[in-house]
Amino acid sequence: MRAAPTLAEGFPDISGMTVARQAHWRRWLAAAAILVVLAAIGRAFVNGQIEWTYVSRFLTAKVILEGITNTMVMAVLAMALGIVLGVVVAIMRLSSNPVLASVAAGYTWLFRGTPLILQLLLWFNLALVFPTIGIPGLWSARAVDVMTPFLSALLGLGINQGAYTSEVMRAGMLSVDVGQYEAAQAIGMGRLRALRRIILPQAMRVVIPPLGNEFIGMVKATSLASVIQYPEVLHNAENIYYANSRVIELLIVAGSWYLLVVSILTPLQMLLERRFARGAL
Amino acid sequence: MTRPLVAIRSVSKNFGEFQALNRVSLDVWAGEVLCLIGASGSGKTTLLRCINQLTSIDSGGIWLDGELLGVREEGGRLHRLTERQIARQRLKTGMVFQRFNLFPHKTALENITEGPVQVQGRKQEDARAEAMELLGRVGLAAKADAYPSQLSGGQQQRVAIARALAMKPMLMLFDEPTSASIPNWSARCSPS
Repeated sequence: MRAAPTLAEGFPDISGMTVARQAHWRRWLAAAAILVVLAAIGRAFVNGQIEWTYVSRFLTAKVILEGITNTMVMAVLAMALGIVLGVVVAIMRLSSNPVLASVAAGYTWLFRGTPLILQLLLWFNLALVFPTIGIPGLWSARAVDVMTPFLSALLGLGINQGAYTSEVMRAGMLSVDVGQYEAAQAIGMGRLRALRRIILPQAMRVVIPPLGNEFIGMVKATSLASVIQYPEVLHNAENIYYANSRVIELLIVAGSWYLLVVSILTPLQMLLERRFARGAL
Repeated sequence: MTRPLVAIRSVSKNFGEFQALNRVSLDVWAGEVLCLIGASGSGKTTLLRCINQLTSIDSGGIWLDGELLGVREEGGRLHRLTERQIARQRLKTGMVFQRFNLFPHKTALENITEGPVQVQGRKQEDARAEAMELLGRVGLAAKADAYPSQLSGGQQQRVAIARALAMKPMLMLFDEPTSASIPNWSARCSPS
């Protein structure tokens, strides 16, 4: 056995020393400059013609609270409709059946290719095309009675969202290794069960961040339903400022609510992501 | 038994211009261990995939336990079986993939019970007990609650073997079983 080798000279022992803190003076300078700019903007708003008392008074006004509730109800329901449609359309799009695949592609083309506000107006004015709607012999009603602002907004927002969500879902399903589908088949699963048990749960992991994006977009897109008289928060804020002319104050009220809702949604998305990250490294 | 468990007759398969299988015929008898050996790209995997119908064959026929796979003969012509019928035929074979293809969102135990519970409709607790027994046989009882990403390649392969065995197939298909080889696996996995 060889004796332990002696170490070469000229490399001092620095294990006892600590690393000195860097000065980072450029960061301090940048932070100071930004604070000055923010202070100037803040001062401008304080001195500007905004009656902040109106803002705080209307922030929790009954009509505004009803409005934000309606906004959230619509966003959740329309998103749910959008996700259901999105999953179905994505499965159709990836199907080997050319009829289903073409129908899915056509749906996405139509509803992604026209403005959302136009679609909302079309649903709301459906009575101009079909005065009565129904199933022949079973049920019928006047379209004006059926296409309420609520239903028009739900159909318009949900069906439009379905077109976008289908592409997100399709991306998620394509991201799952084809071997997973084969392994599911090898233990005797049919196509739909393999999708539900094996493919979709894995696709969810990929799909949640973009779906979170889509949902935040949806919360704000509900404001377009104000043009068809759906009483969401922006519509109600507008109604108040038509009466008292405090336009900016009420827009700030509505804007604050949107910001608050979106701020709450972000940590919720984190929780969902963790739930679906099971088994991931 | 006088008939082979698997009878392959004149099976051909082309992928575009490339001929993967050219009139392959062979018999596999119950209890027999048959190894297909050949250069990479010579069609070993394709033949295994044809036996459990992940790949469809162009011509020829495969009989498993006396039953023609994938098609049914009627009036001198062949008619393709429905997806449901093919899934039922597949239950007679167990497949261990070269890359194992464990379900990454399920634990080792859940990987094994998924088929018996979801496909064969067995009771959860029975399937779990049997899965634990299988995991014990492949030496992974302690890893029941581990996710595939927490297992080594060899451990993943053993879970994949247990997953296939849990379906109680008549025939086990191993694609590249030595890629993460386990010493003496046959002694532990074959029914005692």
